[in-house]
Amino acid sequence: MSQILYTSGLQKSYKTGKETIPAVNGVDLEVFSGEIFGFLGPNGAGKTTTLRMLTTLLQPDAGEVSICSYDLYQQPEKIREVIGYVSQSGGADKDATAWEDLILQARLYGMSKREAAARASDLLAALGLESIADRRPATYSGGQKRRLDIAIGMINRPKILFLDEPTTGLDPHSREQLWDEVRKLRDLGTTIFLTTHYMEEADALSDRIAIMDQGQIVLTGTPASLKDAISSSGTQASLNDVFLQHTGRYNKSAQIA
Amino acid sequence: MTFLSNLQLFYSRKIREALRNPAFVMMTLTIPLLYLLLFAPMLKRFTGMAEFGSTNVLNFFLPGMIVVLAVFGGLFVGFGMIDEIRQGVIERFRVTPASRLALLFGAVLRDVTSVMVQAIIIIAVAIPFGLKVNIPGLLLIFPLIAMLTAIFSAFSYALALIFKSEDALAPITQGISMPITLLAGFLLPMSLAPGWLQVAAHFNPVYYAIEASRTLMSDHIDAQVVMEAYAFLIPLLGLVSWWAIRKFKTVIS
Repeated sequence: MSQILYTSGLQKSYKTGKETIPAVNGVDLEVFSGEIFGFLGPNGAGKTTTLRMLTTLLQPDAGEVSICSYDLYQQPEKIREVIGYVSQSGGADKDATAWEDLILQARLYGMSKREAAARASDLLAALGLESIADRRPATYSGGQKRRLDIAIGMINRPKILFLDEPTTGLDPHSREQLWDEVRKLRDLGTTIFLTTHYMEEADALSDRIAIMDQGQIVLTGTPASLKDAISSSGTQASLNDVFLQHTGRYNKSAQIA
Repeated sequence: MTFLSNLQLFYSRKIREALRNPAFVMMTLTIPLLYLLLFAPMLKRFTGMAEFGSTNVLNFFLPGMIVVLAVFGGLFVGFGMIDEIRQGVIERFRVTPASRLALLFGAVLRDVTSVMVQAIIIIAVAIPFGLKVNIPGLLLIFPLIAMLTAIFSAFSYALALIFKSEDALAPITQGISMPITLLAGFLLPMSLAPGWLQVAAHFNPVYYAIEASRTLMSDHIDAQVVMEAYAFLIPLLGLVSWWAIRKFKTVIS
C-alpha cells in the first residue's frame, strides 16, 4: 500500500500566561492509501491539535508533514485541494439549506455551477439526505446533521477525509448507520483518518489504529494485533483494555485503590 | 479570478443569511427612521445658530446620524461571526482552498451594503423634513460611509476571531463605541469642545468622516476637510484589513 500521510517529529505547544504547555510533542504517523486509520486518545491527549495541523488550520512549531506527497509548509494550498475535514462541531451553516450549503462548498473548490449541482445531488443520494435538501439544519435529526457535515467534507472527492469524533452525541442506531457510511467511503477508495473516544467504534471500523497520550503516540498497530499482544491464554483482551493499559489509566486507578 | 468568484460566493451567502433573519431586516430598515423620528424634532430650536450651520439644521445633524449608523453597523458584526466560529463554519471554509480575503470581505461587503441601504433610507425620508441634497456632495459621502463601515466591520471580525467569546467582545465594542462617537462630535460639533478634546478627536476616524460629511452636505463644501477625511480613512482601511486578514489566516484555534 502506498503512503498518503506522513508526519515526523510533529510539535505544537500553547502558551498560557508564562507557562508553555506542549499539546503535541513529537508525533510520528504514517497512514496508507485506502485504509481507515483510527486515532485514539483520552481527552487532552492532543488529537484535535494534531488534526488541526494536518488540515492546515494550525501551523506546527516543528516537524515534517506530507500529505499526498505535498509538503505542509510549502504547498498548503495543494493539501487543501486533496483533503476533506469534518470537525467536531461539523460546519453546516444554520442559515442555509443542505442544497445551498453543498453548492457553496463545491463552488469554493472551483467547480462550475453544473458540476456543483451534479456533485451535490450525488452526495445527497449517497448519504440518504434527499429529504433534507431544501431544509435548514434546525429541522434535521442528529444523524442527518452529521451526514450532511460529512457530505460537505466529501464534496471535493478528497483523497483523505479527516473525521473528528464523528459519532459523538449520536444514538446507537445513527451511529451504526454512520459506520456503514464510513465503510462505504473507504470501499470507494477514500482514506479515512478518524478520531474517536469510543473503543468499540475504533475496533469496528479501523484497519489500523494509533493511540495518543500526553502529546505522543504510545502505540500503533492493527486492532487485532494490539489486542492479542496483551491477551493471556484463555482471555481475549478488548481494545478498551489496550487503551487503558497504554494510556496509564489502569496503573493510576490501581494505585488509588 | 478565484478571489472575485469566492468573494461573490461569500457575499451572496451573507446577504442570504441577512435576508432570512426577519429581525435583522426590520431593524436595518427602522433604525434610520427612529433616528429621524426621535431626534429630528428636537432640532427646531437650533435653527439659525451659527455652530449648527447657518442654513439648514437638518443638513448639519443628518451626517452625524449616518456616520453613527456606519459605526454601529460595523462595530457589532463580530457577534455573528462568533456564532459561526462555534458552528465550525469558518473552520470549514478555511480548510478549502477558498481565498481568506474573500471570506473576510464577503462579510464586510454585506455590512457595507446594509449601511448603504440605511443611509439611502434616512436621506430619502429626511428630504420632506427639509433636508437639502446636493448630488456631488452625496456622491462623495457614500464612499466615506462605506469605508468607515468596512473599517469597523473588519475590526470587529478580527476581534471575534481573537476572543471567540461574546463575554469579551461585548465590553470591548461597547467601550469603543462610546468614546469614538462622542469624540467625533456626532451630536454637538467638536468646535464647541475645549482644545484637548479637539486634539484627541484628530486621532478618531469617525471625527473625519463626520466633518467631511457635514461639509459635503452644506452649501459651501470645504475641499480641504474632505481630502483630510479621505487621506485618513483610506490608509486606515488598508491597515485594518491587513490586520484582520492576518487573523483570518492564523488565529482560529
